[in-house]
Amino acid sequence: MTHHTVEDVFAKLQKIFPDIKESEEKIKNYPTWSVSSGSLFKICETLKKESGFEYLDMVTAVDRHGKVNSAGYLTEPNPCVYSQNPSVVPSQSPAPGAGFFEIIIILTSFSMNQKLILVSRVDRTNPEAESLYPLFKSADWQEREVFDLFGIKFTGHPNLKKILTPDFIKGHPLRKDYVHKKDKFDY
Amino acid sequence: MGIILEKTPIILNKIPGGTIALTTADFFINWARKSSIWPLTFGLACCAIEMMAAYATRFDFDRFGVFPRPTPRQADLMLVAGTVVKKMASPLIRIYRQMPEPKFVIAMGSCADCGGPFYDSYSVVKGVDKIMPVDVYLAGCPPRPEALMYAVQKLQEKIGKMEIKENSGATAGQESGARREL
Amino acid sequence: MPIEEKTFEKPLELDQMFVNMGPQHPSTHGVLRIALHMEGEVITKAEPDVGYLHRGIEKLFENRTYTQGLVLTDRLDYLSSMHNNLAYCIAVEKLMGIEVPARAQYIRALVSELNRIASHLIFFGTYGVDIGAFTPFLHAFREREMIMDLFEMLCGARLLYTYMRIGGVAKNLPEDWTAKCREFTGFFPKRLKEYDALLSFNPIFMDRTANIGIISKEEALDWGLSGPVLRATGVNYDVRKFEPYSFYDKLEFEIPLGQTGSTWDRYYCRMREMAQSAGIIDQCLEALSKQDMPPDIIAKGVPKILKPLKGQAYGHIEASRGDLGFYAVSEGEFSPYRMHIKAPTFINTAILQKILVGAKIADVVAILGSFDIVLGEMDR
Repeated sequence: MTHHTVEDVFAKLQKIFPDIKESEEKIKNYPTWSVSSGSLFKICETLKKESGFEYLDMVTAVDRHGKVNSAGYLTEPNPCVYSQNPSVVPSQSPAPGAGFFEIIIILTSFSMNQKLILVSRVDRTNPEAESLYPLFKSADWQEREVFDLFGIKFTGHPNLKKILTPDFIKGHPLRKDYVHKKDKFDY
Repeated sequence: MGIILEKTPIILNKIPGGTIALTTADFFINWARKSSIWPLTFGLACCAIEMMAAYATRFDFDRFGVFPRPTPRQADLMLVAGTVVKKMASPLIRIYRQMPEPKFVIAMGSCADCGGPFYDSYSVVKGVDKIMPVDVYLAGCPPRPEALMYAVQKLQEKIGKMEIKENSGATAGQESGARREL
Repeated sequence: MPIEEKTFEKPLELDQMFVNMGPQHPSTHGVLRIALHMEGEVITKAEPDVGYLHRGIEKLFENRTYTQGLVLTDRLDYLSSMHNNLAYCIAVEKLMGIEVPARAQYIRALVSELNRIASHLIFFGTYGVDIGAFTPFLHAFREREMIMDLFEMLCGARLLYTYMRIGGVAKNLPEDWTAKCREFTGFFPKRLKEYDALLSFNPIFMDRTANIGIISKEEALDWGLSGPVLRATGVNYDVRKFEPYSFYDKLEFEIPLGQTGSTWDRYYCRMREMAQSAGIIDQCLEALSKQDMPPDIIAKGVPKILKPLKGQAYGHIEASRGDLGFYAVSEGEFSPYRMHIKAPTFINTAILQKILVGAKIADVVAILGSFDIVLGEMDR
């Protein structure tokens, strides 16, 4: 049942899920695997049941859309950040729909004393992923947070609604193309 | 107390020389008010810890007659200690409206003054004075308990100058509750 | 935002009652709101509602340089700023591949343990107030002021320190600091016994806390709890042992574990952690006073303006409230492309919706207080 190293687990998983591979860009000092969003749930299930990765550390997302849109902030972009490199134009915006979301999942196995990072790409136009809530309850609020701030829909989540931002803040603030509209508390 | 405060100025203003009696009444009412400022036990963020430290052993706010009350209905001072975010703004106004007159507000810390380090955030109200009238602004991130004591002393000075003939004691605009209808 | 609109999604049954707790409540330690549905005094449904201190820090990181971002981390878990600084620095150092000198490593461990004591003291004080005992509050703040004095000598601030730097720490320990710190660690264990007599083994306190809010081992792992909340259930997971950072592998200490996972266990885990922290501080002071320790406190060759190469890093530490992680993504710019904060209280609090069900209304404050929540970190 238990494997001694994370490489064994990888070799075993690759037989069942051929689309799993070592990620090109490693998250420093941790084994990082890139998986397809379709098989993410099944891989987590296998990891939990067969390899002892029973603890979900973190669920988050990254918006790979290009440069941050300065309209998401209430003032001009921080001059200290942008002025040092004049070639960077802060408001240049890539085409809408370009890029993708990355869902980052960190799992821990106490028996192997090992952390493992799974990276999964999600389409940016209609972002959807399978919820990990049936496997790990700790995904509950973290997925709601990702839904709130990025707008990624987790299918199978029992209570997917906004958690951090109030109802009158429209849009998903952590998306790079987020544009802040003045609401009743901005003057 | 309410009858005295509301009716006396009207009666005494009609009598020649009656306003002299009002100044003496002012003195006593202001003395009572400023010696027992009861703030609401209410912390928003980091500054609340310094507010707690001010109530606790070393700084001992009781010396000023400042004693925290857990319900807004018994409090005359609201210490807005911390960042006011947009989700919290409506409950904050609601709490403010529950406080009896005269009521005072100290904006404690940079966040409550102007947004502080979160000046460009999408979800922070840039200063509590955008949603309710403020009596004393206190700078610092977070201000030390000594600074909070200074702010309370400034508030006491302000209370000492209040006159019952002008209004019931509140700052202009405070009667209607929050500054704007939100 | 009208509160009523959100809470009454379904009409209540005849014998049910709805109680709204917070966001202004003296014992929610900030601005947490819990919507409680009750039958009599038994809770049938609890819905924690967070976000009343959501300041958008993760977005702000993308508009700050790496050095400016350090200031934002203080404001996350404002009771243990040193831990936030440390976790952020570890993440950025991993990103840039910086080796921190030995002296800075020991100072980091030293100040983070001091901060752990200060943070747990606040828990001890406010938890007493929640349960109805005011005296522990005064005792806890007396000792905490001593630590605040030490920090003030060290970096000039009482609460939000910004003492760590990427690659080391800001200043060396001042003169007389070591003596003053030893004075504190000599004095503190006696005070811990006093706290035990005052509150921990007080029969009234034990009656109110010992058999409520019980979390099993399996539940704790399933809900991803960390910190004293997890260790009170008996799971031995502490990042200081699991993945040692800042020379914790060279320091000797034990991990206090609970047995039943009850509210009292969570409380007492923290009390015993304070004793361990005092021991770690002594060891760090011992190591720092050795003559052969190089005097460097910041890594050589760290540029003034940081510009890490393209890459990603995850650095995590054991903060006072649990496993605090920073996930940093760099695209080779002056500011992070993405900075995610894995906040322990945010994940710990989610279990409230499960364990509050079936509890009595009078126990809600006791259970909630034992989680030692800090809203700044929870909502970010």
